[in-house]
Amino acid sequence: MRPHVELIQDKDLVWHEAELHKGSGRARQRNLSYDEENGAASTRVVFDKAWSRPGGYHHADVEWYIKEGQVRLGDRLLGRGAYFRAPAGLRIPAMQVAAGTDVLIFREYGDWGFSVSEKNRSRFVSRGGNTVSKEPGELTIVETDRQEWMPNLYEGDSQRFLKLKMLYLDPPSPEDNNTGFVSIMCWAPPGWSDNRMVHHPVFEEAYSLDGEMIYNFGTLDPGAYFFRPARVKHGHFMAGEERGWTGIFRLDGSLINWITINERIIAEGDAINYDPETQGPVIAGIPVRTRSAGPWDLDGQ
Amino acid sequence: MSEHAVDLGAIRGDWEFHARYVTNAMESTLKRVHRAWRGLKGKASAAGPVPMTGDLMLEFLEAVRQTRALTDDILLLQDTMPTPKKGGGGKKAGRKKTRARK
Repeated sequence: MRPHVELIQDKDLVWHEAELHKGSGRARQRNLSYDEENGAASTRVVFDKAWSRPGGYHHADVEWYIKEGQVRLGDRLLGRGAYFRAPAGLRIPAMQVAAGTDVLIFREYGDWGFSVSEKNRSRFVSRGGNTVSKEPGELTIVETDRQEWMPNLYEGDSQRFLKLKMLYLDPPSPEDNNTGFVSIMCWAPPGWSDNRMVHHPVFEEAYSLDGEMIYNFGTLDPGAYFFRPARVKHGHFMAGEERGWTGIFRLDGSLINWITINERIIAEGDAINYDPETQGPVIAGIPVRTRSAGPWDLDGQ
Repeated sequence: MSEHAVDLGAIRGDWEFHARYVTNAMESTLKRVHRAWRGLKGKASAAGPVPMTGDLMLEFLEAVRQTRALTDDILLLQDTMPTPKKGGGGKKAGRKKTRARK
């Protein structure tokens, strides 16, 4: 289980040695969110020296997004804005990464393991750890800098004006929305706003790439990140006036917007030996935050 | 995923509110387009081409793509434009008769 992280700035975090097993070179990572039960993680990785790794398969569903630099994946040279995803067990070609490259690496339903191999882990490799598809998993590569923005597929009734670039879509089962997986880029145009509170049946994670957006948990500016478990309310959005806001999102199912208005919380109790105004207890479930994000003003609690 | 047609009435604000939002978003994004293009022209030699690569060209391309995306919202607003109200003096709509209960 990943904790509720909202809101952190990646520059506030310490560096670790990168968890890129079976590779040679030098890289470091910041852990944006980490599941200590199964080893899933979302990380920012910077390659201090050129790095390479032979072909083989991951032990988790793995996604890379290149913020800066160059990555060679087999015969494909990928630059800034490129994304690729490989499900656990699918053999991917050898990789070479140029010194100075800066990437986001997300892994799900497994840990950092990597097996050098000439073939897949098994005869059939599924599309992912949360899939219901009977189709075999495959390598997905998207160059987002060459992709057009499309209208929001997930408008529900409140967020029609957001724009998307689809990175990966594994549709849910008709019987269970909390299956499948979605990775997208989202752009909230300048001045976009939604003054309501929203929650979803699936987890939602985002890393801020460009612009800014103020919302109930603080300000999403470049490097800001959240991992929000299912059903946590969020909202009161206002995108920046100059560039709007752009981020990369991941969801473990299909996005459904459940809307709350006139939200309020009532906590009742009789203080025995403290001043409830100045010494009252905080509510359980305060999310992980870092110093740049500052304290949460409890808007939308 | 959305399972119904867009209903702007369900979103905060009326059609005018959304039209003002789209106008503002387009204006801000067009400013970025023009700023980036001016920057590229400033880097071009006299009568020469603008630099085809680099951060400024990436910014220009992205701002143009975003501008194009915002034109989808103009089409949406055209599709959802409210019918203008007729002038006064018309017959008031009568109250709907309720059907007698059986």
